[in-house]
Amino acid sequence: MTQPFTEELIAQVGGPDWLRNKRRESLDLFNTLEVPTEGVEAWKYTRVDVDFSELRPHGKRERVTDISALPASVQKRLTSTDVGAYLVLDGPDVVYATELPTELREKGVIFTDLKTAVEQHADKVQQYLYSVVPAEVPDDTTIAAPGTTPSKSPDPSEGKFSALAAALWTNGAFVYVPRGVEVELPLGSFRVMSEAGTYTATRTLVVAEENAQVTFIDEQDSEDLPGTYAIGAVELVIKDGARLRYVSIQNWGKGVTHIQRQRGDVGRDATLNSLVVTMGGTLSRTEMQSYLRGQGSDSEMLALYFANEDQHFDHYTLQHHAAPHAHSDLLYKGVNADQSVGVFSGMIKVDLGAQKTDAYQKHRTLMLSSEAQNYSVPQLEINANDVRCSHGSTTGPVNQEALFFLRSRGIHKELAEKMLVTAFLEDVLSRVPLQSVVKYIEGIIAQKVGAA
Amino acid sequence: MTNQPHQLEIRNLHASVGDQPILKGINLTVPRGELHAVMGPNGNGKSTLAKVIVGDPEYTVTEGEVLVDGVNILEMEPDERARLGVFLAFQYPVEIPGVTIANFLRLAMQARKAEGEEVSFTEFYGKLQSALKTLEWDESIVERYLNEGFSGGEKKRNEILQMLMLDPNYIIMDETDSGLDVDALKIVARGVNSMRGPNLGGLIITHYQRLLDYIVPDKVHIIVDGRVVQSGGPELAKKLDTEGYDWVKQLAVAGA
Ligand SMILES: Nc1ncnc2c1ncn2[C@@H]1O[C@H](COP(=O)(O)OP(=O)(O)O)[C@@H](O)[C@H]1O
Ligand SMILES: [Mg+2]
Repeated sequence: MTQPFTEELIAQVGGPDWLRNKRRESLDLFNTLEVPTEGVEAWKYTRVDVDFSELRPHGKRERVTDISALPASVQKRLTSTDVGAYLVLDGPDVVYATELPTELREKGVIFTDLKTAVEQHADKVQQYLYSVVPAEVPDDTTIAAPGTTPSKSPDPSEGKFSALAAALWTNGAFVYVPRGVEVELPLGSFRVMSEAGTYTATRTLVVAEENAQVTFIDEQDSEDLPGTYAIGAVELVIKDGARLRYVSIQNWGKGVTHIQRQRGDVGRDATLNSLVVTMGGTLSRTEMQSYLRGQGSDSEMLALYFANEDQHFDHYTLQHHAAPHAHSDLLYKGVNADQSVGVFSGMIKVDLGAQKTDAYQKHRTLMLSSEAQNYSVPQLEINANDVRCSHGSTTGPVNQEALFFLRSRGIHKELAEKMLVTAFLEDVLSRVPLQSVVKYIEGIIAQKVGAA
Repeated sequence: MTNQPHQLEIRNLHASVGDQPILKGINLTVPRGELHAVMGPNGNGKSTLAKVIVGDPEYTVTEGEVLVDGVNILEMEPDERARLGVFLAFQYPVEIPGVTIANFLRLAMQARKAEGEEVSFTEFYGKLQSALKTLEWDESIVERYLNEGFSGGEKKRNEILQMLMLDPNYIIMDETDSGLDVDALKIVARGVNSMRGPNLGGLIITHYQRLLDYIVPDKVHIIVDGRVVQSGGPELAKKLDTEGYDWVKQLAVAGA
């Protein structure tokens, strides 16, 4: 039985009236919902065993003025990143930040933390906050022809963690790019946690106005933290003709449970390129949802993950085609080693009016151990009749022929296996035009491959 | 082991796939310094022989020995055999997307080094330059993924590139000539001939005389139904070319 979180917490996280009301409503919702059970299709293979009454919020950390005072892992990242500006959050709040270049500020680009934005850019935040990832589970029931059986509606409990993230978020990044402005260098947020046995709820809001262009990189990294929860919501607003590239790299330490809903609302002829990278934590549930609202919109959805030891990674994806002529292309590739578990549930939904939809979905896993498990559940709900939809899923061990070939050239078995694992993930990375990010991810993979 | 003969010796080799015997007692000896042609009709065990020598786990050796410089290699892992200097140019090289040729070659060279010894950039690059020159290949090729999207001919050329880079003592070429046009054939032959010398021994598996016009063998062996049914000089290959394989099949029947 889950204990209700109390009103007291709302007072702690604060905000203006409209926000407090929203938080209160969300908390009420949270307290009425159960943690999703096995009976909920979208959570069938993933159990979150959490006693909320035992959890306390992550302690606040002092702001620092110098990079050298930041956790070592962040310092290391900051020396090799090429983001144009960034925030560093330790637990609930920002501990360090750099400024946007003047030239971008003059063009009206805003990059700050969400708490500050609530005060300084109230109109914009109020307009978009909760519009893409509300407290409740978004209703992605498809629009079907009259008289036909409507598609399955989500289970309310799928809103359990998003309600928490809506009620108790403390901070996160806020990015706003005005109409027609192209931001060349990526913007980033580096999140760490440093207190075991706590929870942190964060929220990120990125708004790309018409024909704007921006890349946002959301990295999470920590030491091992037993019994620690990172609950997140990421809202991506991509207006007509805009282009947003969103990269999320989850590399928490052991013991962390990561639950994050990431959703993009994609306008007419707009493009969302997403990359989800899952490497860390003990239990990880990452949802990436593209709501293709506008005609001719486009969503590329990439992911790679490497689960080893007792890691359990759950990736839930949605390609919801609500308008005609939209295109979505999903490629998720993962490696399961040791006793790890991988879950992939990929939804393609096509509304009645979404003719000429072109939706593609592919999930491939490499199994390095006979004790590892992988569940792949692709689902299609198609209500339009002139569409192209395809999905496929493959699971298998390292290609034995390739392994033999490498060994026949003298390469030791262990190294040959590592080469093949790295090669397996390579084609996802080759589609990401962000050199320093790709290098960083390759580094994490190399480490994990070395340990496997 | 200083008195061991420098040769590849195959003694009464039997091998099967599952419970189907394919090699039924092969005997062959190739001293270093010699290249022997291995010929014979399709489906008679030539590729199997090649793959058994390099340790393909698909095949089970049921009897016999393969001695490299006097050491039986049949209990060794495939990579161990390769590090001894045995190299097979595969009939059907695999494609490995995600692994660049450059990276692969560097790691394969590194694998031959003693503990703590690094392949230097100059060593690697120098060797690469000269190998590419011999093969008339542009340097950009090494940035491509291993055999991915390569034509049959490019794959064969890539096998020879690896051969040149890795300096084997014993080479086995499995129908490297099939699928090559005359120009490519000459390039491949030039690659092999550039390595020829007192330290290199090997088997050239082929159907046709045409490769042997460029790489003249010291001896020719004919394999039918998993056995060597006839051995001779280069003239044997010419005879096969003009008379076909029917008469050797008769030999197999007579010998069985
Ligand atoms: N991996 C395998 N699985 C099943 N049969 C095989 C395998 N490899 C070879 N064989 C069989 O063994 C015989 C000899 O094959 P192979 O060595 O490829 O002949 P060659 O190279 O002389 O054409 C053929 O009948 C072939 O079908
Ligand atoms: Mg063959």
